[in-house]
Amino acid sequence: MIGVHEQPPVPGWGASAIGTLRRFVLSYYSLGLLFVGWEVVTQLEIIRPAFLPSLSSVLRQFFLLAEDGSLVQPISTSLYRSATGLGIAVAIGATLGLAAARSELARVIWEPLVSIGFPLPKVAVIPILILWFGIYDNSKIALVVFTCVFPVAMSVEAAVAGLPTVIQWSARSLGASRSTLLRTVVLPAALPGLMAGIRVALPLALLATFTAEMVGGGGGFGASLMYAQRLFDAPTVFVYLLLMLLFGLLADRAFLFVRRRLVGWSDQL
Amino acid sequence: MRAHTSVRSLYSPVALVVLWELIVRIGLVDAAFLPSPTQITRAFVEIGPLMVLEQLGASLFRVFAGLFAAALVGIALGTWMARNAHVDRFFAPILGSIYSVPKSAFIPLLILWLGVGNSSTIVAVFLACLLPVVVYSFHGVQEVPRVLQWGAATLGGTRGGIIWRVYLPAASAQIFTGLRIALGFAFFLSTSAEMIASTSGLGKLIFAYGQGGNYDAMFAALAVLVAAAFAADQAFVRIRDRQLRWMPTQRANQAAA
Amino acid sequence: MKITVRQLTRTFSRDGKLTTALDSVNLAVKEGEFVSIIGPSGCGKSTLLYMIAGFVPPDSGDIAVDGRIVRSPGVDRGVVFQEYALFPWLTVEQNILYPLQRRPMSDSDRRHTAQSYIELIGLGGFESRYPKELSGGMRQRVALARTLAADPDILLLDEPLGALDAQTREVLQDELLRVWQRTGKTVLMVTHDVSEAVYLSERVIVMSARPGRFVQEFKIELDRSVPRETLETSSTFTELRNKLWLAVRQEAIAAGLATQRAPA
Repeated sequence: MIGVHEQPPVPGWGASAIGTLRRFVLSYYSLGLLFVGWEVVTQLEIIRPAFLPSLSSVLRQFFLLAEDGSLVQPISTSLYRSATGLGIAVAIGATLGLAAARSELARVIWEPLVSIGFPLPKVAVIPILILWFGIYDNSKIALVVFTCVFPVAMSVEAAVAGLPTVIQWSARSLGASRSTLLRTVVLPAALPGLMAGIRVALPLALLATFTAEMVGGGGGFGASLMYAQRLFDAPTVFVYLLLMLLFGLLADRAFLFVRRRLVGWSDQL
Repeated sequence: MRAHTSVRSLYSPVALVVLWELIVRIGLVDAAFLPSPTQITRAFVEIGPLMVLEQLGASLFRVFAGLFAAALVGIALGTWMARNAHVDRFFAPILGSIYSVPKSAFIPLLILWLGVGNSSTIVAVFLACLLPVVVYSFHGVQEVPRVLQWGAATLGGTRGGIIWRVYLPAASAQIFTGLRIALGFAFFLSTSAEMIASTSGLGKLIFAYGQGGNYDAMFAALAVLVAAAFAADQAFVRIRDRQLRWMPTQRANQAAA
Repeated sequence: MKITVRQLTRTFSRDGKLTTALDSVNLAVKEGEFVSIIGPSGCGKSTLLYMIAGFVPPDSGDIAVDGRIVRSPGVDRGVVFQEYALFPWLTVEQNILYPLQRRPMSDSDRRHTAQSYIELIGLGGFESRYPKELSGGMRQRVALARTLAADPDILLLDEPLGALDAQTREVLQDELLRVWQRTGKTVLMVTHDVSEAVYLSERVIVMSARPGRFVQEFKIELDRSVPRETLETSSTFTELRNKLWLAVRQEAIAAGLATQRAPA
């Protein structure tokens, strides 16, 4: 199924322009239909503009907002929070996962936390985080960390625990000491697993940030979205929605690029 | 292994709660920031357990209504997409786009359209749950071994019958995985929607108490929600394991390999 | 005596049942010898190898290399696994450089040495390839080169050619023979391929399964200077091969892994 887990194949250097265009149209024609239908339906006023602003009015609003710079603050704030939170979550999650895979004691402590933390709707702790950290950056970052630690830690734990014994044995026979083993074998081998965890965590980071902002305010994309909704400013609401969509896509693309660079050697790719 | 199971039983949730109580009593943590379990229980009794359970009921209704609808539509759509390449090509980009949007972002839009209340929350839950169900159903049906498909065809039966009696059971492991993830999303979305704007539900309760500064009650409501989400997940796992009794486990497969 | 194994015993418990993988096994391998161990599946031959390598500790008995008791893995005992066990995140060259890192050499010396090993195994031009881009035969060559680069006195081979097709296997067997003849290393190989055991070894030991014991030993005296075509079709070779095959089959039947057909 294209467009869900993997983006459609990126054409190689040798592909013809026509071939690329054709493939593009074939892959995305339903979206095109949707956009056309959207415009038609609203222009013909089949649905009232208060509910569904026309595509053209949304685009117009986008340029308006982009020009007067009112998009810059929310975007940069939200991106900062997502990125920082994700970074911390990766650092903590990778360490926890590694520890859980290598130490029985760590796993005993870790497992109950996961079984409760996993089904917990993380958004519910937003008020607690606001209590502890205030409504600005830190509570949002804290939510991102809390949300993203789990997939990262679980992926790393699985990767390290699943490391084939023969590879570790090989390294020992080739002269690796216990500490060298960790650095030169365990960590590189766990990298694909870590990437898989980050791939899951990335949209979660964005989700956590936006949701925390929608619930608790304190600036950022989500807060601006709520503000527009309260003003019944449908075009702006749609602008923000489309921008969120765009960010999600771009973030995933950027991630895939980085992943290919780092773990292109893996046969899981 | 034997030594470790005893460690495990030591480190039970009970011990955790006791530890929690101690930490607050000693004053290691300020009770204003983290009330002790006894304070929370007291608050729970004060605000009225019945009222809390009523709100829980409201939340659970939304969770399961949205999840159920998403399951019906999602499994059907995922199966259809797996069997028909044209349908796949049509819906895939649309679903892919929805995938990239944080689902809670739809909540303000839905409030705009449907107002504050059950319908906007249930639709939000539906949208969030749809995607994992479709994706996992798709993969599950697609991965049904060729041999099984051909075998079913030779045994006769209508196309619908084959889907119902061969494809879906074969894909059920994947479908259950999708549903389990969707369950988590359902709780997440309904709580988000209730916190953002709602007149009832546990999310609203948690948010309202937080706003009002009644932190003990806030923790109490949160505890109920955590317990409910955990219980729902556990119940789901048990149902799944019962339904999938016939499946060879992964470990058995690996041993045979 | 290069390797001395004394009364080595190892048991495993699986699902509550106790299996004796090795039962008071004794073995003595001279320096520079090529010894093969052969037997039915699951007879503990790999376990023996892993214990000599230092990966698995014995329940009782001991293993000595050059008179010193084996307690952990070491560079003096290089191991080649059936599954190659290459590091997938390293290129061919980097894999072979891995054991060279701990040797006190200059960087350029290391690269030269790695390069000579790459030439030795006939993979010149593939230095920057990753394992996932290589065929099974190529991967096994890299695994062999990597183990050789560590310059161990002893080579422990655990069904090294088991995962390869027949043609590739023959080519690599010749390479293995050549390497052994050139370097004079002590080789202990576990295999299930009877012809391979006869072709390569000076001594073949037959093991029984559950419990794992040495049951027979064959001395292989062949003139390996003649071309393979002559050697493998000679009567000496065929006789040895047949005797060995019968011995192994006996053990397989005893272990319940094969059944004798009743005469018609």
